[in-house]
Amino acid sequence: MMDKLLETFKLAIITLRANKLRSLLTMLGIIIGVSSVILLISIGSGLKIYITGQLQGLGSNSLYVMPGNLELQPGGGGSGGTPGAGTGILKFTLNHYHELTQKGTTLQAVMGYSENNGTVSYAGRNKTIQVAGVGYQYPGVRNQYPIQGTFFNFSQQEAGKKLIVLGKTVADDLFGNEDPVGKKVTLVDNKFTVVGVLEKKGGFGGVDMDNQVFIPFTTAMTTFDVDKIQSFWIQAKDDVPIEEAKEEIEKILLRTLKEDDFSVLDTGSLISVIAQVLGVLTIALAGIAAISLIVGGIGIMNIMLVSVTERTKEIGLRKAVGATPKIIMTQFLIESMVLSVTGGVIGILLGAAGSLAMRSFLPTTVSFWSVFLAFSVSVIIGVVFGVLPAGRAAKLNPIQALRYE
Amino acid sequence: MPILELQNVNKAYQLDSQNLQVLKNINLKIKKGEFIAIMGPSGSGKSTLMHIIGCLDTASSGKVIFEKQDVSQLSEAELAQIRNQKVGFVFQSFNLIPRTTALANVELPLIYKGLDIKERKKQAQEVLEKFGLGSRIYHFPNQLSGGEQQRVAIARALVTQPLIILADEPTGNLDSKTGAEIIKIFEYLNKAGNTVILVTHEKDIAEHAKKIIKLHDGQIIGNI
Repeated sequence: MMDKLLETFKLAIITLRANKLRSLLTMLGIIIGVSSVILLISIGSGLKIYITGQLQGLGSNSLYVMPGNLELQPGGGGSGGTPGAGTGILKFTLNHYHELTQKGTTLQAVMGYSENNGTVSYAGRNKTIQVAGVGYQYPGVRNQYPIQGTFFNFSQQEAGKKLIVLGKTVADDLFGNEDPVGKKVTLVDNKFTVVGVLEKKGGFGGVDMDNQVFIPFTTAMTTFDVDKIQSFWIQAKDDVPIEEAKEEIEKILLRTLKEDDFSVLDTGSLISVIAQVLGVLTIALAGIAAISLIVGGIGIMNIMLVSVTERTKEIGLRKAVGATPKIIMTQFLIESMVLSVTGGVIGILLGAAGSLAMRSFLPTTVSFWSVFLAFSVSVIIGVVFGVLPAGRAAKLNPIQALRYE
Repeated sequence: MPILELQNVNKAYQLDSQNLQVLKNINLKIKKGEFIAIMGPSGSGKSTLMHIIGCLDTASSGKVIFEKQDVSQLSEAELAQIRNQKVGFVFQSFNLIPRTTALANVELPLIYKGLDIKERKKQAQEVLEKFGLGSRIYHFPNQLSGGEQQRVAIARALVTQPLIILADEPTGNLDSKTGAEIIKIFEYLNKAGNTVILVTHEKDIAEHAKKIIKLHDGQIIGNI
């Protein structure tokens, strides 16, 4: 029995090699499908690892207060089950900032945080980049310190001074070898004085984290003409349990805000929110890629049907010298499986190679289960889309098959 | 004791609600070592008769007995086994599998018989050598002449040492000189003890056989 299977397998290889181009084109659908599924899953998991790592680097005592209800309800559903719902409405004022700073006994650092886009210019050079409005505690919280000059301090922040700290990339692009500290740059028609340049932090996924500038969040409010603070970035005291700090923040904010107006996320819950979003995204993208697997399967079925017709006479002869319908069925099933599995293996290799090439941007990993999944799917495709042609071959009447021209 | 016996065999096809009687009450006994030619014009039913003898087809009624075993009501898989072990086919158009060596073509019935690779290579090679194709065993069908192809096909029919060799117009695609050579091979095989049944419409080919069965309208009309 094993001998017969091996023989059938060899025969399938010979047949497919005799039609190299055709076999390759037939496999293309599977190759593309499998490699994109592998690649997308590996990018998804790489992204997750990277972002999780970045967030964990912020320390376990960081808390984020965002507008809108971001709480993920277990099992989805319920009000605000979708992350990001209602984030458009800004609710935080300077009052909230002062209350958190003054009354938060468990809190070590409270920063207002905002993100805007703006054009920074110096000596005729322009750069449109992200302008982060942050608190004076930023270097300590982010663990990223100035390599030139200083960061702005508490009183400068409270006074809303027009001071700016540059990311390394921005400093290099605008100033080159010149020392930027003390120079004036223009941002949204305002002159800002450069007080420092932050050390390099590195990029991720093509986004350069050093390609932004930092101004006091109070200054950001006046510069971009908004009376609300986008969010708070808070650090709890080291000896305080994170839950306690979270409750205190909620208590303070609930005096003036409703429960649905804001969410307090700690690093852990932020990681789980992002992981969940990325997970859904990865599955959705991989699912779309998987559609091409079905297309590939149909391609295999199509070529197998052609092959059965072409080889009608051969099938008749095989039957005449003693092949049972089962043997013929097996022969064509194995052939379609060799097609789909070879395509699957090539796809896995290509996907893995692509994932390896992405390594310079992202810690992509090709997980065992995605390879296993891709491989099993190709086997299943070979069987499912091979059954119809193989069945047709097995059912051929030997006399008519022998006469077929 | 006949190795093959047909008792009152009838074959009818249903064609457009018309009942087409192709074979009528065929009674036939074939003994070991016979050399029989089945002759008849086209449409006389000689192909159908050959298919029934070769277990490619089953009779509508009557019995086909192969060495005491009635095969007329067997399943397709069981018939395949009979064809594999008891019948060797030779066809007009050789029917070698393309892009497959002469050796692999001859090995084919032995694969289905379940022989291991060493044994079947040995047996297939022996038979090919016997037909003077020892230097051609790794050639593909398109690298062989018509006569050589038919000799490979005969080797394939013979390799399982079948009870009967069934040849359907084996010289039909060959020139007369090569055809004569092929007929000589059948005569030689018969002398060596093989039972040969030759289906042909050519009288001078049929005359090489020891016995001629003439078919007309599905009936045996002559038995020479």
